Amino acid sequence: MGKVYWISWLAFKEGIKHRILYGIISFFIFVAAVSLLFADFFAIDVVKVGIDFALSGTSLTGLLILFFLCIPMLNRDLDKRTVYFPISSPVSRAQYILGKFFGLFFILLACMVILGILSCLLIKLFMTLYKAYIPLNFSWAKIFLALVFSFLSFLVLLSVIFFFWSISSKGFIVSTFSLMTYIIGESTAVVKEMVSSHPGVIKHIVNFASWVFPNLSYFDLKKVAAHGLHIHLGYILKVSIYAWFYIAILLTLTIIIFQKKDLG
Amino acid sequence: MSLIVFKQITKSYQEGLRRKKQVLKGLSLEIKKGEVFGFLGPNGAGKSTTIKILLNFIFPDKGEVRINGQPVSNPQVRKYLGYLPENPYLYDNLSPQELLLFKGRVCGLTAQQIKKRMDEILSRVNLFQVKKRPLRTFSKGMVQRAGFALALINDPEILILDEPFSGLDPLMRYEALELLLSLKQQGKTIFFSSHILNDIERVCDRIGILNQGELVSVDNTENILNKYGSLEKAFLTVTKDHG
Amino acid sequence: MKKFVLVFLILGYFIIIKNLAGTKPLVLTKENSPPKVIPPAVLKLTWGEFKNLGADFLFIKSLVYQEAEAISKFSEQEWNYVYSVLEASRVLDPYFKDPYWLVQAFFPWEAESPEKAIAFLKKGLSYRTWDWTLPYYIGFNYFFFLRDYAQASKYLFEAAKISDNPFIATLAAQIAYKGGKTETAIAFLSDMYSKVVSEEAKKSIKKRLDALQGVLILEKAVERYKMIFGHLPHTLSELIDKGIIKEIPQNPYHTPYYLKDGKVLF
Repeated sequence: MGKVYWISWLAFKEGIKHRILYGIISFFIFVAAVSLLFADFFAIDVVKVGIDFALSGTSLTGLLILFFLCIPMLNRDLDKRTVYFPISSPVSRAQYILGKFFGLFFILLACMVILGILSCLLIKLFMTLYKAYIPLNFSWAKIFLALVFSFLSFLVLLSVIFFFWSISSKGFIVSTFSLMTYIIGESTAVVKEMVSSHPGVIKHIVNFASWVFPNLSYFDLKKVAAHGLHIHLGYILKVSIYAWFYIAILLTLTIIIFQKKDLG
Repeated sequence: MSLIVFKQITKSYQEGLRRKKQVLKGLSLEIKKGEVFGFLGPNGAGKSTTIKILLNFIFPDKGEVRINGQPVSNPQVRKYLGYLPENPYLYDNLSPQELLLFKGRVCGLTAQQIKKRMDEILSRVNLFQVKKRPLRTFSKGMVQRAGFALALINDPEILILDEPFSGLDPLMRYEALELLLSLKQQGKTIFFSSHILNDIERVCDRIGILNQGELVSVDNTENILNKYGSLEKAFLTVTKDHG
Repeated sequence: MKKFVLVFLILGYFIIIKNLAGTKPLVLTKENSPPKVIPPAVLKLTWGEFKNLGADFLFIKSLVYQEAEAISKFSEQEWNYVYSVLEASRVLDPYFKDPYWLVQAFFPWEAESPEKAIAFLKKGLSYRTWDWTLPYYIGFNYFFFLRDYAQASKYLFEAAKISDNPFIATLAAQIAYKGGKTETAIAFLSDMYSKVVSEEAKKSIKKRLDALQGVLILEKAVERYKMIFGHLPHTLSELIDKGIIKEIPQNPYHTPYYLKDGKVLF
């Protein structure tokens, strides 16, 4: 366990100092500024718009971190052979994969904490500027929950990225397949609804896809947070368990594949 | 007692869809404890492949490699092993201090031990002043020296060096050679590959020459020098015979 | 040479920009019909997890379009375009209040299509279950524009269930009991007058309010006439002749008030 910790420490230290991270975080600040400019266009649900910008901005920033920091970091390890450094130490491949995953996990977590604080500040600002337009059932707990679920979806995507990375060491392929998985994952719920009345092969294919690809719309609680909608505790628990099972399965597959991979 | 044992190693790479290129053809080799073994061979002979198999980066198609009686698939065999890759690429944003801390910790050293050894090794490779600077600001030679430091932090019994002198200027090369000789005196087992025959001749107890995936000659340095006159002649003769 | 090319290119670039400024990307005439409504599923698929942001964006888009033209001169097609953009916004975030609000603010009044506004608002009922204004607006549209008092009271009762304002419940009951009673209408309209923002709507409500005030004065006069003389007057002018009122109030609609079966109409 100690070795997994040190691998994750190494990955965290390496990633957190990446300059691209500052660029990505400033992107979020830009989104927040834009939201303030647009606020006056709205008549009633102004605070809801503020929440939309904060949460969507967080989601988008998280995706940027995954695609422009995490994927390049993983690929560099194989392309530039930096992987030789950790695995020439007494570290097993499984420990390396787990450590790497948790390293990136902590980078995402650190970013998420920053983004979460910025989001809350933005929402608070909207609430002070447009006091009369706070959604009826507004609650900070739901904002927090939406942020946590956003983070969970990043982790699911991260495990997808790990899986594709263990299969192919080409950065372009990893990015493309991960992006495709993201798009499919976001659409399965809608597509499933669309084909639910069409019996036959298409329905089976969609059903199969919804088993294989992560159903990312489960993690989208932006509406719940923005309008203070009611949400069941059971839903929260089930989706969290679903996420961790998905992550665990993909990480196990990644380890199995990576253990047989020639790092030539 | 042999410390490193290669037993009938074959390895081939996929080349295109159908064709396979055999890089190692039944390589067998034993290296004794305290020995300095020089690994020679033209480009593409399979030196790097052998080293990668030894470190468990890639897996042989057939055969077995053991270090200290343990198969190399056991990560524990790397606890007392130092490795310097050819042109080491290290994590750009980290400093030598951080990299050394990592390596020391995963090799089971305590923070105290690492702290003591770190300063010693860093001054030895002339990086003490820059120990907190990220590696992206380093020159190629400095990175190579950081690689040396990393290979030595855990006080390894076995050192595996892949082209350790590439990228070093003459002065640094001299210092690196001195370092190797002092390690040899400490009784370390060293396995290294190089193009520079002079260096091999100076340091190595035994020399193996690899050509097209086969070990064409393994002998004591003295015997080879007696037989062929110089290492250069030996290298040319042996590789030509089998080429 | 390079500098010359650069100067030339920048010059050309500015000429194009200057020319582009005058051209509109979308010119709605009778010949080219407004863009078709995008299917909801396609909208949801394209916006993915950013549906809420998409709803906000489309809402602004509908505003930008309205800013650009004089609303009062909008053709039916142009209103259809605004409607479809707002509908897209609603599809992406059916909980978002602003599209409902905007539809109510413009469609019954400027666009003269209260039915569209009613249909739009009804779609929001199952989402914004906590919001009494949606059924309240629907009820108002039924009452004011369509004069369907049964439907009006039905939706006002819905609103009363959500809101704790006793006024709405009373209103709903009165309309159910006597759809056309003038005091009820005046009370409803006065409340609505304080809620609408559009000048057009304010003007329209004010006009109706003034007309109803006139009706109320006349109705009271007719009642007094009946109490004094024991029978209903035949014409309104009899009220002046008998000295019950000094004059017939001005009707802002410029059609004279008249009496039919004891009821004041115009």
